[in-house]
Amino acid sequence: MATTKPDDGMCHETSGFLFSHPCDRFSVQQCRQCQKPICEDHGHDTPEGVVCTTCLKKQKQAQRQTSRDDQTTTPSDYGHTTYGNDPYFYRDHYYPGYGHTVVPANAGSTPPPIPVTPTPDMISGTDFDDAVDDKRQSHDPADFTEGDAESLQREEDADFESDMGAS
Amino acid sequence: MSFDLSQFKRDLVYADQASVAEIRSSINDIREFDRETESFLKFLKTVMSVAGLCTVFSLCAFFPLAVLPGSVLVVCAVIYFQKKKLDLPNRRYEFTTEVVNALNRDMPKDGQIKFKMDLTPSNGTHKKTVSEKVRGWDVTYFEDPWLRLEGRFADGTAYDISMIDRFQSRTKWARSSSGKSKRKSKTKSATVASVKIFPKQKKYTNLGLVMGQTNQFLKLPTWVKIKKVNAEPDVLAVTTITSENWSVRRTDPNTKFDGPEIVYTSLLSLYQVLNASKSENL
Amino acid sequence: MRNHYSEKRTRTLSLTWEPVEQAGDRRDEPLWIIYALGGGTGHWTRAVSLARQAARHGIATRILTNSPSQFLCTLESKTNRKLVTNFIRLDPRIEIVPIPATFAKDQISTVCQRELSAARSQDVVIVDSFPCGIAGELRESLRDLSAYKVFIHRDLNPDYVRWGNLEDYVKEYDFVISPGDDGPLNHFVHVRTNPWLVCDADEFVPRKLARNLFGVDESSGLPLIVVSGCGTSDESLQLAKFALRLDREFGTNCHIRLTSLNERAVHEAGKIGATIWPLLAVLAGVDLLIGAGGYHTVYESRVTETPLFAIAQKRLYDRQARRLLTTERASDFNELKECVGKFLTNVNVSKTEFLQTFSNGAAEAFEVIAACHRL
Repeated sequence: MATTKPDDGMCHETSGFLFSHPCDRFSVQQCRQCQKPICEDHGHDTPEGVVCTTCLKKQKQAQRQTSRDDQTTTPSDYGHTTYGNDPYFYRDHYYPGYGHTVVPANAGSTPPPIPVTPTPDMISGTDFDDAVDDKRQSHDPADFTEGDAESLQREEDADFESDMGAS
Repeated sequence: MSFDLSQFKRDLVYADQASVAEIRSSINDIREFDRETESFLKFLKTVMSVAGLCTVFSLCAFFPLAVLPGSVLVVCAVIYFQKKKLDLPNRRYEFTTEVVNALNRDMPKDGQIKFKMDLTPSNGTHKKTVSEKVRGWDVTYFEDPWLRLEGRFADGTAYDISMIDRFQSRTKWARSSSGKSKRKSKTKSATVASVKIFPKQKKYTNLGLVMGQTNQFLKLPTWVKIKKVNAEPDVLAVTTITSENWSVRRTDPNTKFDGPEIVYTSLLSLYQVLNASKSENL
Repeated sequence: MRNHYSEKRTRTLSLTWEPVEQAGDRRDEPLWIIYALGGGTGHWTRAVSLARQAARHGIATRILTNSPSQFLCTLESKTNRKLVTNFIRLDPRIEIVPIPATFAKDQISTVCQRELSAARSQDVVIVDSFPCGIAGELRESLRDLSAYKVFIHRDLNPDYVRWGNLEDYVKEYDFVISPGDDGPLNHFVHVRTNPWLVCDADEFVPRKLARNLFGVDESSGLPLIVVSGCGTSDESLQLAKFALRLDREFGTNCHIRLTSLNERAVHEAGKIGATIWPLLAVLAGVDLLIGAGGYHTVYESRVTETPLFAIAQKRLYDRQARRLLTTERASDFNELKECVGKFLTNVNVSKTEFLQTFSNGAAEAFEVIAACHRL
């Protein structure tokens, strides 16, 4: 799919680590699949050439869906995928369900007090627990896609009189 | 401010406010310096081994012959222990590189990070906190805040990440069944990670409605334990602790405990709270 | 130099400042306090430009700055890079109040309010670019300042003007001056001067010596193209990489050099990197300038008739794209490279000395502010 935005010298990819946002870096290459102009950070080497983060995420999602359909899914393991350590893909692997969240209907009422874990005396260091195995949820196979995330666009006026190093 | 390697070699602390590119470049200098130190130490070890063997053989054969290899051994040992102080803990600067790279994904192009990275040993005397006697053991605790990162993401949210190593050293005299006294010692360590974000109030106006559910959004590795969660309208924070011997997967692919994962998952968890505050149900 | 507000640093700057009695301490003499907070080098350089003119006339000035470049005038070179040249030595009548670049909004507000509230009725307070201060800290105190208030109107983002209701605050100033730049508050400007230059014509370095400073032999007959590695750290590094790219491509037809205040950029540029400040002083030796669209790059190149090709960088308050002419502006590095290529096909390396033909706007500004203050 070719990009429709005119090439203004800037990267057109919006993938981030924690949230989607416009990229303010100069473009240096084009995505082989969607022809979007992208910067170095948003370009990923594949056997087919350089693709953008969005296209690569879609590819991997399709691969996971295929392997699930073939019932060859392996339990989630840490970092043993080609791009597993790249921050752009981290949340898809290790934080199932990240993104737009549906909050229970009574969320608007007065929230209950937050159960804070008793804190040790950090200065003395006398509380020196060993880590305890905690039974966490197993990996949620429901995939999170880029399209599910609510884009957190940077507000242009957000930094007026807040950025002391601005010019 | 530019990175001064000669200054760094004196105090092994790198503190600055700089762009990600500059930080990466400076850590690269540190990495190179550490590699040189490690190679040199390895070379010294080899020389000391050879000198040691020669000394032993010389002593057996003809005592005066042992003077030369013995001297070499002593000199090398002195240099070795001096240089050993400059052997840096690799996982700390590799961890910093990984985390800074991840933060850079959501920072503005001209964003800067204020940071301090301390590569001095955890059991330095200035890091000692408490000494006490516990059930016959002389126990000394050390607290080593070796990393602090402060900056701002592109959406205006500020972050404050710190890593603290806690180190415990225990010694005592014990008598064996044969009646001999010997000194026993043990060490223990843990890493405390504190991740805080300070969201912009204008952007996340409904944060107060969901912060009560902060705990349900926390998804952290199984090998860390949550110590504290703080959820207020202007700050979300999670503090975790782990005793696992973690390293950095990029340099140690076989590790089961990837240190940067603690920070990644903490940030994702806290940002999930922010995502929830934009939910349509509110 | 007063250093009340510095933070603890891991490295110590070596200062060559000779302590003198506090500027303006004598009760009968007016003090000009120049508020020059803001990132980059522009606000600082304009402040120094005006302060030098004032010092020539015996007027003491005090510059408030949080620019990372605030050390430029007082620091002996600490770098071991080749060629660090610093042409400006500040007159002892110029006092700098350095505010650490790491200071947050509330810290800056505290410092600036304290400094400006000490201004007496015979003093002059000159605020560069931000009528309410960069942190909005002047909103409440502006009306109550007894000193003569001057606003320097450099271009400003109109969104900010609307967002901050700045027109209401600009009205509180006694005198509004434009340093040769147009902006959304032009209708308040009393006097528009020529662009402000940090050094005068008699301080310019002759062409031959200027080229020698860049390590270029005059006898080569090849043009000298200088890339100004200005802006943020990342921008400076990108410009350094671009300079290397130009050197690879056109190095046989011309001399390519990079000058930057960013040591990483200079390091990146290797043997073609240098640090020269102010660049203005050596522009007689430069046949083509490459950079961004900041105030000083643009106006210094125009005043010295040095051709300029530039990329407009995004700024929160400044509109660089608007300042650049269409003949000066390139949209990206590829286009910039093409401009350089075209330039080299018909360049005339015979730039004559131009020193006599322009008027320094900073000198004009001093005269007019001093005259209005006396009235």
